[in-house]
Amino acid sequence: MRRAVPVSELPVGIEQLLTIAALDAAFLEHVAADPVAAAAARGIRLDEAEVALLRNATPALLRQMAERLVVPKTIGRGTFMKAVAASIVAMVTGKAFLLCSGCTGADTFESEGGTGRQQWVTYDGHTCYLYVPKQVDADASMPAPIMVALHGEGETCLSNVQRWAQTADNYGFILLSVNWTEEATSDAGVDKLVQALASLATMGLEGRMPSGRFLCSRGTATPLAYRSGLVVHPLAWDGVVMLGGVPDGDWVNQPAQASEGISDDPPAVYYVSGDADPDFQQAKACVARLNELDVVCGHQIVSGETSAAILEFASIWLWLVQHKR
Amino acid sequence: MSADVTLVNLNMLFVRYVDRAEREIHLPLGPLYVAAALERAGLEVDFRDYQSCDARELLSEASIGGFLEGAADILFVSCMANLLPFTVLALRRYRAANPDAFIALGGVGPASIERPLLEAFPWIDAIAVGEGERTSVALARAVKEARKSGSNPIDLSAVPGIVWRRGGEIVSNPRPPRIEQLDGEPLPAWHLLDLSRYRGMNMISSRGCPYPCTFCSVAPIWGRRPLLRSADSIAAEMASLHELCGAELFLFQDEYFVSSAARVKEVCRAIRGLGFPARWKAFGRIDLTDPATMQEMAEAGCVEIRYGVESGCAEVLSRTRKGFTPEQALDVLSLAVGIFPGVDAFYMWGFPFEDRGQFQQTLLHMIAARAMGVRILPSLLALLPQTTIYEELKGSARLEFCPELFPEYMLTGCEVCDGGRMRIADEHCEVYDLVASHPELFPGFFHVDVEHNILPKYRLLQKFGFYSSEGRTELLGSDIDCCGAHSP
Repeated sequence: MRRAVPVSELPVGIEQLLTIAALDAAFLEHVAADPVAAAAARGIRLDEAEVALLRNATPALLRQMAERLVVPKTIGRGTFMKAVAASIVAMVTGKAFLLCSGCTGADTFESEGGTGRQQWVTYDGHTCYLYVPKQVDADASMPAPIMVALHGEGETCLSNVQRWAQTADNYGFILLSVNWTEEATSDAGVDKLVQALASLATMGLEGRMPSGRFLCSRGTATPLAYRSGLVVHPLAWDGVVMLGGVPDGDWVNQPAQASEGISDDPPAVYYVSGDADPDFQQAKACVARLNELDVVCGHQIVSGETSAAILEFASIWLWLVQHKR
Repeated sequence: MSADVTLVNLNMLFVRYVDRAEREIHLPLGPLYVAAALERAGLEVDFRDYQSCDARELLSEASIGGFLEGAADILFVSCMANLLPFTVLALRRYRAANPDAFIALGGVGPASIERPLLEAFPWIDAIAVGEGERTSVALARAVKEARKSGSNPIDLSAVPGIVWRRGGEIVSNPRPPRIEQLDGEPLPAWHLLDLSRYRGMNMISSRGCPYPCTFCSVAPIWGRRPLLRSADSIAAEMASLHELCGAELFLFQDEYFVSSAARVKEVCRAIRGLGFPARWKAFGRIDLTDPATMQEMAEAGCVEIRYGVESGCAEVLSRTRKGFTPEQALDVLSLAVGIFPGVDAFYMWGFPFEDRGQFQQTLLHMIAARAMGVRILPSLLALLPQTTIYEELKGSARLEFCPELFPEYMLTGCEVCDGGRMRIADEHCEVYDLVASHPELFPGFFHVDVEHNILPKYRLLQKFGFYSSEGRTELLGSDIDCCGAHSP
């Protein structure tokens, strides 16, 4: 059973249009001159109400709206990100990529982004956001652990930086946040991504071999992390963190079937679920099943929904290091 | 009961959903200032804040009846427009049970409709006009003296700032002069409350606003003449609250906090000198907050600024006399997002003169602001009786009561908000029957042209996620937090 990815019904074409225009001067001119044609040229869907709004706007106003748009550096305001997650774009090798779609929310971030080097990169054809703490950056010859992170719905790659940057600064690991929006639209795309995750972890970043490889998922990315970390490429990972969400399958009624294919030698798993998460019972049943299968599994149950929880990422990191294979 | 006066706060926001009720408990500043003045005058005050009433069904006859039980025979009640109908009905019952009580109303709810209110509801003895500190003391003393001497009827002709009943006649006494030196007034009487029940500490740094925005009910009440507190007095109040209950978050609820860059700088200086890490929220004004001022505020602990943008259409802004342009608003919001952790923007909709194209401009402005990271707080126009816009429409426009849709400021807590619509439970029908039969007293609950003006705009706002709708509660960039006041 593959869990359906709910897609927001709310029109977000204008946000997408403005955000791309904010980052691309040539596109901005196109938007100012003819926003509807500009949207069509970039494959941005506008519904009829959006077309009406854009047709009613002056070129000067559209230009100003895009020029004043602050592409958020941080994403602490959950409600805002629900709005614009679908429209965050980044310039990678001269092209704008849509990074996210859909909305469910994000756990409450405990800190602002860190002080390390941050940049968009492409690895093996995948758009990623790289975060390298200062002390790691200072010595390129030293191995450092890597955390490959998959954002949840309604988030962007930057969400993972928000989530992990301070811990990365404190403990010296590299964070690679992978955009997986486009890949999620087809089974073939998901398969390709699962393959790619292990490659990303093992290939080394910027010529530096990783001294530890960890995989983190949030919400709807959890089935992917489970599949990569516990089923397909268990040996590629030293630990897996699942922040909410549930691996595919009916863990309550068909736990054996749901856990089919799990490796005999899986990495340790740190699993966070909220007692008000809609799939909390599934999550609990999943943990119970992992325990039955002797998977080292730390289960943190937070009060309320995972999306509203304030998590201590440093503790999670220390748990991972402690249970690293 | 030994108190001279029972002072009741009925200013509150209470939103009921199908599965829960949400209550925001704010410090009732106005009544607390009045209480402090009464106490300073040697009068004993029995202070009751209905926000802290624990009854499950708060807005019921039984609950308010029980809450008022044992009150002094001089009863002062303060409310806003949203709870005015409920207050009026509650006082009718109170009068029936306490025929000798002296009942006076105050607060912004009855402002500017004092005379018709007294005409319609004979169980109310007097209504205070303007600042309560002077009026309440004079009124309480006059009633107390009259009771003591056995005078009947009570002669209140020497009490400034009240509209009252002299026999069958309704009399308006001249207002007292404004309090010029706000620093000389006692601080709110916090000791009358259990402060641990209040999360963010409301404060005001000024009284009044000079701007002539036609939809605003606040500036007219103060005669569009603002008076400011000194920076040191503001900081001293914050320090007192910190000492009393450990407060570190302060909510400036006055509209004119950013009266000038120099004054903001002075206030920020005082706040920085407090000796504890104060965080605070305040209102800004688009044409009064320059980048340096915003930076100054952020560095002094301002974690949220709230702007009344109101419209994205230049013609609408001009007609409502806002005094700035949509372009200025975009510039300032964009800057603010880079400076403050939180930026909110109010947008008002439902203007009867606003055509579809103008509304679309506003909607696009809201979308652009939301994309910047601004939290959007849409507000359906409330035709409050103090406003210029209501004055202009009164008599010419037909006011329509739509029980499924009220302005945010007019939610009473009797409605059930259900998927973007409101329902009125049978037990609360009396309140709305009163409202529906008195558009001249409660115009804030009414609209102009629901079918063509309100509902099409509402649907568009729902479509873009600014309001929830049936089957979809997801909101984009907006919470229910749109009562005007800052929340913790």
